Amino acid sequence: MKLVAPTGKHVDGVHVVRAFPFTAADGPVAIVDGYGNEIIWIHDLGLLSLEHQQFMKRLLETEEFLPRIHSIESVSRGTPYRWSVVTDRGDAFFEQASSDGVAWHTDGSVTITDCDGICYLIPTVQHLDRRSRRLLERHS
Amino acid sequence: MASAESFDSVNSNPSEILLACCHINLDEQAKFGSGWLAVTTEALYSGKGLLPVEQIAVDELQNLAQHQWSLQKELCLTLTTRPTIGQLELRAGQEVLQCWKFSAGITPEVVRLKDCFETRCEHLTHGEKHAFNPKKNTPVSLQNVSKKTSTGSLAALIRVLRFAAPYWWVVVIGTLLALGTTFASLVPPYLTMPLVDKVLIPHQSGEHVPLGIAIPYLAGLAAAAVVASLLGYGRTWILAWVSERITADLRIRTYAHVQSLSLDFFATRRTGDLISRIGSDTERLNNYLSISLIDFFSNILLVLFTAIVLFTISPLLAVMTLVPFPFVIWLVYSVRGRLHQGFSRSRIAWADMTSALADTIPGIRVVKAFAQEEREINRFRRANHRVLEANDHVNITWSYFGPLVTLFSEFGVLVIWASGVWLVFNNSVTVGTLTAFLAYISRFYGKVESMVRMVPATQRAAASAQRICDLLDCQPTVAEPVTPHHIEHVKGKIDLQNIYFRYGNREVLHGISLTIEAGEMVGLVGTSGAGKTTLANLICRFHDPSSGNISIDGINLRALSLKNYRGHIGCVLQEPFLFFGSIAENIAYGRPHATRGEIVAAARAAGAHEFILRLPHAYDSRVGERGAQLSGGERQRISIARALLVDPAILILDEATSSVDAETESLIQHAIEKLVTGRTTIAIAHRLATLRRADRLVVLEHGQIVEIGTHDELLAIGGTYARLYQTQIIDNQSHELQRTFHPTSRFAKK
Ligand SMILES: Nc1ncnc2c1ncn2[C@@H]1O[C@H](COP(=O)(O)OP(=O)(O)OP(=O)(O)O)[C@@H](O)[C@H]1O
Ligand SMILES: [Mg+2]
Repeated sequence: MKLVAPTGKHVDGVHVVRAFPFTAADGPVAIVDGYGNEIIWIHDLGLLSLEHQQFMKRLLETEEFLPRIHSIESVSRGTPYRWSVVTDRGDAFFEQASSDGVAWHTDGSVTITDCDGICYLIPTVQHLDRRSRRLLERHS
Repeated sequence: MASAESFDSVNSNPSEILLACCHINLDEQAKFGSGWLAVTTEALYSGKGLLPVEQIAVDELQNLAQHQWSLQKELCLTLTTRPTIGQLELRAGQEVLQCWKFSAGITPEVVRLKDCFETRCEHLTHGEKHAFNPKKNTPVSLQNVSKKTSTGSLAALIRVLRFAAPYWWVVVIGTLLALGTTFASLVPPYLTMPLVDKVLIPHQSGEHVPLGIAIPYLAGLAAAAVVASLLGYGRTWILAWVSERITADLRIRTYAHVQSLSLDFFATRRTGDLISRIGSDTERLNNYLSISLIDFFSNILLVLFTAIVLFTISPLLAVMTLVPFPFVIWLVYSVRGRLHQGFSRSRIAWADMTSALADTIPGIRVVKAFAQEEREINRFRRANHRVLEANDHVNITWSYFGPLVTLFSEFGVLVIWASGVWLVFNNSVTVGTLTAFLAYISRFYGKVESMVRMVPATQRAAASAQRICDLLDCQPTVAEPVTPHHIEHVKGKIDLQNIYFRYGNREVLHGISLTIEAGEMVGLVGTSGAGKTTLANLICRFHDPSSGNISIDGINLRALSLKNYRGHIGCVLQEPFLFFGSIAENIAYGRPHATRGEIVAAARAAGAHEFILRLPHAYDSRVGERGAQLSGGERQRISIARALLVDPAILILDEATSSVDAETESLIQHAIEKLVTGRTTIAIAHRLATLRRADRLVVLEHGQIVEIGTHDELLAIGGTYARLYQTQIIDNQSHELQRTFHPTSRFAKK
């Protein structure tokens, strides 16, 4: 990606990074160069015009992969745990070597890391349906 | 898109060989989907869905493919990787032909495919079409899915029980004793039968019965009781003995296994969780083995024998005893899963609580510094509360379970009373038989009850066994070679060839090539996070590079025996760690049999001798856990002494003197200098003055080597190093510390 800064400077190979992908996905966003040096800081995506917001969201979709779990369909008993979940990125199956990858955070969110290192986010456990919650509790 | 759009059609070619293939797990909108990519000697193929077999034939591939592009020099693949997602584009010149997205987990496979593609394209463009040797490029296996089969918790328990094998003879003795106890406890009811029928009833119905007849029966009863209790004592003691040994073995095996695991394992695991697995999960298993499991076997025996006796006494009554059984079985079945979950949760809550402890107690200084004691107490309270909740939850289940089983057995006895009364009235059985029967039946149900109570205990133990097996199943990623190569004397030539390294999905070293001659001192400099420590870790073989090779004296590091190799390197890590114990023990950590003289010499060389003498008990002073009673610089000097004492051929100093004042550092440097001769030394430092004795300086930036040369050469180039140096000079001038840069004034203050 190429960035043309307001100063007229061209920067190649830029990336968009969410500053708080878990806790404030719509919050601050940074535009960085290939080495991770910050070029532009957008304090709040919501302050951009709607059109720009759409654009940024589309960019972010291919810049990070953090599926949000809507519901948990099933989890196998015993290791490795095989999860089947419905996410905002479609249905997913993943494996997990031990229950260690399930992390409960103080804000009521949960992240599940699979054996490939992909992190699945449950933004608020309370919003899950009963069945999913039971499955989650059983495996953490 | 249809295959008509393909860049070029490929004719089937019998010599076409599959070079690499990989799964693609996202679609164009970065949603989950499945597809694949494959590179053959002739073309690049892509398709949807999962490839059915691991090593697929090329013609099958062509049938399944939706797109294919024959390899030619205009084609190129560009890979963009982000921490969580990657994108691969196929271009022909400026035009993008196709784009694939995948989650970061499969990046290595994609990189491999891309490499194969590029090597092959290069071959083709250089007209070496047939010089290609496919044997060197065996296809990557498609499925990255772990081969480990799913193991249930009972399987885990059985696996843990295999630790009993070395004690089989004790187990046999225990079982024999249990058998004896069982027999002895079956005798009394059998004796009551003639006692009632031949003595009591005849006497009551007016017959003359001499009292002496009763004596043998009573004596028999007494003898049976004494024998049963003696055997019971032996059984309990032996089984407790053996279960202690089994769990001690299990504990040490688990701990030894954890010690054998590589650093990346510890980077992700929580200390508290590990402690609770090795410590309290094994203890739970011990309780289970000593109390429950052994009883289980003797109970089975007892139930079997009682059943036989019951049937010989009165088959009719015996059948009646079976009435409550279906209920009991239903109960066991319904409650098992719930109990297992409950106990697992309870174990996890416990591990969380231990983690909260293991996290905050070492960090107590920070907690106090920011006055967050309240918050940590609350955090612990929450963890504690979760343990409480989890235990409450499971207690509800298993506390109703016990009484319910009792109820069923009471019900069973009632059935026997009822049918017994009826049978006695019909003169089908004698009162004596009924009495004996009732005595047996209460034993029988008692045992059945305790067997059924085993269910919760088993589930509890299974949950613990599974957590232990989880640990035992982790494999070290840095593996000891099958036929390890031992080297007696290391000269210390280190060869790094095109090293790439990634932590998880994040690549931090991108193609490092460097040769360090034996006895050379190399300084590694670079901005924070450039990958200096990572590189040092690779040389210590704490991790293996993702690609590329490291060799020592021309031998690949992967071929060397780990223990043997690490014996030749001395490491001073960036975060010095001291163990609980005395200073002398800490210095001698790498060579426990070092003499006192050697320890003192090492401490002197590290500039630690004098401050050690100032401590209350000098070399025998205890330093507290993690060396809490020492200053940062003192800890560093002790860890330098530790590294020097092993007399390593390769010395790695990672910020070894960063917390030491410039003057002391200079002294240490001077001492080390004498020791350094003849050793390969890799020194990492931010304070560039530290490295002024280095033969060469290597400047790392963003995981790549940007400059190599001596101090003067690098200053002359005027690149990164010169910039770093200038900033430090300016800083130092303003702090009037510049003298450390001039060797002549090194000891000026002395
Ligand atoms: N265990 C780890 N897991 C994941 N990433 C890591 C790990 N250790 C280090 N990193 C990352 O790797 C990169 C290189 O780290 P490294 O410790 O090698 O840096 P360094 O050059 O030694 O820096 P410093 O001078 O600050 O010590 C950093 O960006 C760091 O965030
Ligand atoms: Mg470092």
